[in-house]
Amino acid sequence: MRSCAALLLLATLLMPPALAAQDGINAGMPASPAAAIRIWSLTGSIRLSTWARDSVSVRGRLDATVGRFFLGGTRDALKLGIESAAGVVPSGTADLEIRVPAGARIWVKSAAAEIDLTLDGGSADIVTVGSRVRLAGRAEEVSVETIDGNVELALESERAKVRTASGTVVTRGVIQQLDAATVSGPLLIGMEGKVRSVQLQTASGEIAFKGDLHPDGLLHAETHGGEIELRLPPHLGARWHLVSFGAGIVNQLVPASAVQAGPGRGEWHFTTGDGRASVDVRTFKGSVTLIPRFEP
Amino acid sequence: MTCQDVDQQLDAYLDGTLATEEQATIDAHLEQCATCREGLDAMRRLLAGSHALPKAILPSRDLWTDIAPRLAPRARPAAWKQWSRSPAVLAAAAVLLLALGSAVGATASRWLQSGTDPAFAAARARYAVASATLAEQLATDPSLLAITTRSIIAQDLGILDAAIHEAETALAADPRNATLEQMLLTRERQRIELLERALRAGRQES
Repeated sequence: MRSCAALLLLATLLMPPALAAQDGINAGMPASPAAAIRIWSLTGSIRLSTWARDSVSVRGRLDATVGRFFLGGTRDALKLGIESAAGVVPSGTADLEIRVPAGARIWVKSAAAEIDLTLDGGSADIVTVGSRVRLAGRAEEVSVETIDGNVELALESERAKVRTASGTVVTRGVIQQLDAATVSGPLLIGMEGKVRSVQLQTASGEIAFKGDLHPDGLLHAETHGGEIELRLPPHLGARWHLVSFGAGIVNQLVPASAVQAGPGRGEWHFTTGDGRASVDVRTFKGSVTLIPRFEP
Repeated sequence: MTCQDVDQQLDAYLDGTLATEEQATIDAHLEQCATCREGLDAMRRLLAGSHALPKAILPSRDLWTDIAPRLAPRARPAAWKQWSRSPAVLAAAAVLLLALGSAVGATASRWLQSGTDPAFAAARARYAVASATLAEQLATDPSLLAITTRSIIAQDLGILDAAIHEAETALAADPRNATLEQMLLTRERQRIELLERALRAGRQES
C-alpha cells in the first residue's frame, strides 16, 4: 500500500506541467449546407474537412495561455476560434480539428497556425502572416494571402488566387483560373488538365509551369529576375510573345522555323498551329526555357 | 471610410467621375484627415507636372547592350537570408520602412522631370503616392508588426526596389519601351500590394 502511494506521488510529480494547463475542446452546432464559417486562431494548427451533415463539429486542445475557445452565430453564419485577451500576445498553442458541411464558405484568419483544409465544394478564403497553408479536394473558389507562408494547392477548382511575399507556392490538380504572385518565393505550378487562364508573377522568384491550355486559354508569366520554365504540349496552337532582355530563350518546344525574333530587342513574337491560345512570357534578366510536355 | 478606401478612389475623385454620394463621402474624410489631404495635394501637383511634359519624345533604340553591363550582379537569396537574420538588420528593417515613404516621393518627382510619357509618369506618380501613404501607415505604429515579419517585408521591398531601379535604368536608355514600362508598373503594383498585405498582417499580429 505504501509503495502504491509512493508510485502515485512519483507519477504526479513526473506529469508534465503543460498537460495540466491544457483544455480539451469538444463542441458543435447546427449549420446550413452553404453556411459562412469564420475561423480565428493565431497559433497551433487548424485541420478542417467536410462531411455530409448539417452541422459543425470542433475538437481539439489548447493551452490555457493562448486564450478561450468560442463557437457561436446562427445556422447560416457561424464563427469559431480562439479569443485571446485584449492586448496580450498569446503564448502556447491551439490545435483545432473542424468538420463543416460540404458546401460551406470558409474564412480563416491566422498568424502562424498550420492550416490544412480538405474541401468538397464551397469556397475558402485564408489570410495569414506566416502559416503553412495546404488546400486539397474540390472547391469553387479559393484565395490565400500570406507574407512568408508556403502554400500548397492540390485542388480541382474553378478559381484560385494566391499571394505570398517570400513563401513558395506549389499547385497540383486542375485550377481553371489561377492567379498566383510572389515577390521572392518560387511559383511551381503543375496542372493535370487543360486550364483556361494562368497568371503568374514574381519579382525574383523562379516560375515553373507544367500543364496544358484550353484551345482559347491564356498563360501569362512575368518576373523581373527569376527564371521561367514552361513545359507545354508540343502541338499547342498559340500566339506567343516572349521577352527576355537579359538572358535569352532556350527553346526545345517550338520548331525553330516558326520562331521569329522581334519586334524589339529581346522579344520573340510568333504563332503556332491555329493560334487560338495565348502565351505571354516576360522576364527582365532571367531566361525563358520552353520544354515539351508529353502526356504520361 | 478608411484612408485606403480614399486612396483607391483617388483617381476617380480627381477625374470627377465618382457618384455625388461617393464624392461627398471622400470630401468628408478629407476634411478630417490631414494625411489624405496631403496625398491629394501631392497627386494634384504631380498630375499638373505631368501635363506640362512634352508630348513627343524621340526614342533612342538599341541601347540595351549599353544598359546590361551597368546593372548590378544578381542577388544571392541564400546569403541574403543568412545576413538578414542578424540583429542589426532586424533593427534596421523598421528604419527602412520609415524611409520608404520619402523615397517613393523622390522617385516620382524624378520621373516627372525625366521627360517620359506623361500617362506613364502619371501612373507612376499615383503609385508613388499610394506607396508613400501605405508605408507611412506602417511606420506610424512600430508595434504593428512583429520584428521578424517587418524584416521579411523590408527584405522583399528591397528586392522590389532593386528591380524598379534596374527597370528605370533600362528605360532611361530605351525610353518608350512599352514592355519595360509595363514591367516597371507591375513592380510598383507589387510594392503596393505587399504594403497592403503587411498592414492587414499587422492587424492580425497586434
